Amino acid sequence: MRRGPFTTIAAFQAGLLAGFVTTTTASAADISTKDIQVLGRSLGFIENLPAGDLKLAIVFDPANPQSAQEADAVRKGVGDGLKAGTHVFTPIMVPIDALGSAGSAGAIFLTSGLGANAAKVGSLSKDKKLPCGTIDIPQVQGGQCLMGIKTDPKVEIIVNKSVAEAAGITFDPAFKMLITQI
Amino acid sequence: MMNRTLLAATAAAAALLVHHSAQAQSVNYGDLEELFGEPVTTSATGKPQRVSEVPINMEILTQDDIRRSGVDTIPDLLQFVTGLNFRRSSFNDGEVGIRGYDQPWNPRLLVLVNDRPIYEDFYGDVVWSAMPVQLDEIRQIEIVKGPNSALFGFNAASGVINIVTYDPLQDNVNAITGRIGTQSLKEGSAVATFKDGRTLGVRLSVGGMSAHEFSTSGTPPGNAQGLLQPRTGTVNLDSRWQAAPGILVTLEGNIGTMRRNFPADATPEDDRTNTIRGRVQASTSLGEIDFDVYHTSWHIHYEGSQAQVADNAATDVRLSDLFLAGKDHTVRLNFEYKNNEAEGQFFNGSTVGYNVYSVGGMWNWQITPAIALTNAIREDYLTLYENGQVLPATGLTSHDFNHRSLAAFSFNTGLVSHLSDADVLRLMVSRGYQLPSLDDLAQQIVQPGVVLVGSPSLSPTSVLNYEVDYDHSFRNIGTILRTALFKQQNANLFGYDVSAPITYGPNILYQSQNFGSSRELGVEVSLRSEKKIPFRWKVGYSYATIKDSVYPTIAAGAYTAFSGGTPKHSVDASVGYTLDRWEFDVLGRWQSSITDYRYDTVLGYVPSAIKDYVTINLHAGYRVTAHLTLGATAEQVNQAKIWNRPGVPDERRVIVSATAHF
Repeated sequence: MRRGPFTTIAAFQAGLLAGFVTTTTASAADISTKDIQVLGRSLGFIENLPAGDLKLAIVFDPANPQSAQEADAVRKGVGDGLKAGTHVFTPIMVPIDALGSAGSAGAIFLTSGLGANAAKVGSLSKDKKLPCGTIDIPQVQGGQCLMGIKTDPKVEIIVNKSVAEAAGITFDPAFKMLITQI
Repeated sequence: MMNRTLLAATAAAAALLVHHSAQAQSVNYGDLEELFGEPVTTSATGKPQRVSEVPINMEILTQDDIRRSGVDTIPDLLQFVTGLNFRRSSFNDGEVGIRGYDQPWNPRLLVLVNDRPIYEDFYGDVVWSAMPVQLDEIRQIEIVKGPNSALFGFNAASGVINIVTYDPLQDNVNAITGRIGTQSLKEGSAVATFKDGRTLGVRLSVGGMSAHEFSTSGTPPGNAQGLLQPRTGTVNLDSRWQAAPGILVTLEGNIGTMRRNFPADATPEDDRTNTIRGRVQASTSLGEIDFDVYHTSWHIHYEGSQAQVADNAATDVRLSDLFLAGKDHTVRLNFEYKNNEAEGQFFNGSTVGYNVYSVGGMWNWQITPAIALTNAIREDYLTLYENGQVLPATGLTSHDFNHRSLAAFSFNTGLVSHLSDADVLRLMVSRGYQLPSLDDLAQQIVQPGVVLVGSPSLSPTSVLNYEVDYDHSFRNIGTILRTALFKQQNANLFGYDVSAPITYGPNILYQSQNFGSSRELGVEVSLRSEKKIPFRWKVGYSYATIKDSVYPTIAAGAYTAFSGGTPKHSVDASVGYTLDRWEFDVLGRWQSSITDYRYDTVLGYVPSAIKDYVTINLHAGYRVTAHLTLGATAEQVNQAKIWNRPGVPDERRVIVSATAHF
């Protein structure tokens, strides 16, 4: 029997669905210059950032070498200013024990491996409506941080929808359609 | 007036439905490309997508690619894209085809500017030189290979080229470019953007060119008479108004004029076109509504011994709704109505036209983060009409025209699978349609000794395409591999004037006719550097083999013999280097020999062997200041003359340019 095009389409689609379903996972790694640039560019797609130049609160745990090193790398990477659309962020270092001082910032960078302490950042982010970025994706999945950044091998951005809603943070619509919302 | 009323009504309706999470606003292509490290497009499915994720074979050329090529026309740039065909009949008449089946006034290609078709509606061809777009205002050129009617509209039989200009709301582009060159080229353009805060942006562009035709030395005398000096002149106004957080209004208007010579037929042509367009995009509780209306008119004047005049007007109304159905499903519903009407000597003084009603849908399913499936369907229904005289004794009556309707069902299905972070597999099946143009259906041209008539009974050409694409990123060596394997089946090919000659009183009559089918098998492979600075390179190869099955009564000609008319092998390559303020680029292309046809007023179509050829372009640019760039380009530096189709040979060109950005 001669097969029509729809039969052919259905056949190959079924085959593909059976054969190529894969999943991706993300994990924290050493932060790179590209990660920091992508963080800045992503923050630039937030629609309701306050006007003017803003502070980026780099939240870290001094007792955690991984967190402290990452914080230092971000501070150096941001340097005199991190461009985010029409905004420029300048860094301030915020130890987790002095988290209250991050309340006046325009955004938070949450270093990796903060464990239970990350929950405090999540609460602050919601209370003060502060966007939070990290390369530690589980902190996004856990609802402690708004946005996760992955740049290797390709740029991927993961946004926690419930965190965004709770903090009243809205994104550029085109940006929203190009990222993964969880 | 009608357009204005429709626009106002839609804006009012949209205002009532505006959703709180307003989404209708300009896409910031530049920032998104910078963020994701690859161009972003909305043209495939209506929603923004990275080019690596679209369910079609798409390649994107950026403004950088345009600038670094040094060329002054879009066809001159497209010839260096793997899988594209190029030939030029004269200085101002470059023709582009995708995956073969290239032909004079190629009607198989759909070219869009910001999603609006810009072809000459009564024939279906693209008059590149009358396109009211300056190179400086182009953000990117999206090249889609393969039939994609269900996603883009009819005429997307062999592929689509969507030209995306800068957005006056997002991009502040102000530039003046001047070019002078051999063949007495004088060319200039200016682009200016005016913004009022973040809610209103207007971009105005003007441009013009004049030159001397290439030398006709070696051109058969019958094809070299009466050629006129090529020229162009265009004006374009593009405005965007963010009327409210959820409503974006676009108004466009443009005028284009051009003169080109078509020496294979010894036909100089003067065209004038103008378009007005209104578009409202609104975020509503029903989804992203896009209401788009444009009206285009053409005045076509063939000069010389075959002098003919035609006037053509087309009005197109499109309505679409894009919405999310759950987290992983995007759906688009679209409706379109088009009226296309023409009159003049091409139609023996009659008015002919058609109405096309189209309905379609697209469903994009993100099955997993790594796999997406897109299906699209579209039905076009065309009704033809004619008012006036039908040439006696052609066997046709008004009834034949006024009771003719035809339907075409097209589809696209594409599955994109990111097999790993470095591998992308695309599997696609699509069927596109080339609907017969008014010329094909209803022309009635009386020339000394020859009568050319259309055929209202023509069936549309369907193009069924099966394709597997595989892309791989060799990150350790910074190289990207792209491959495509496709098989294409064309049914109901048609062409005008292709019938066997019919005695018609003292004249010979030729009629449009469906004349058979054709199959193609093709492969495309390209490698390019991942980074573009300081060193960039690309090499591509395409293979195409075509088998025509044409009715025995049909004579071989430029519109009927695709097997010999498509190069089997083509190679394109480019290399560029950036050194401080300097940019150096070399672009080259080789294609194997083809057989083309020139038109002889006595003998009809005469085969003409086009030998294989290499063309190499050199370009150097120097950034004098942050605002001023100088450039020098030598096109076809390796050969003084190349016949890439019968008629006037391409000559070596040297162009010097200066561009000031403000």
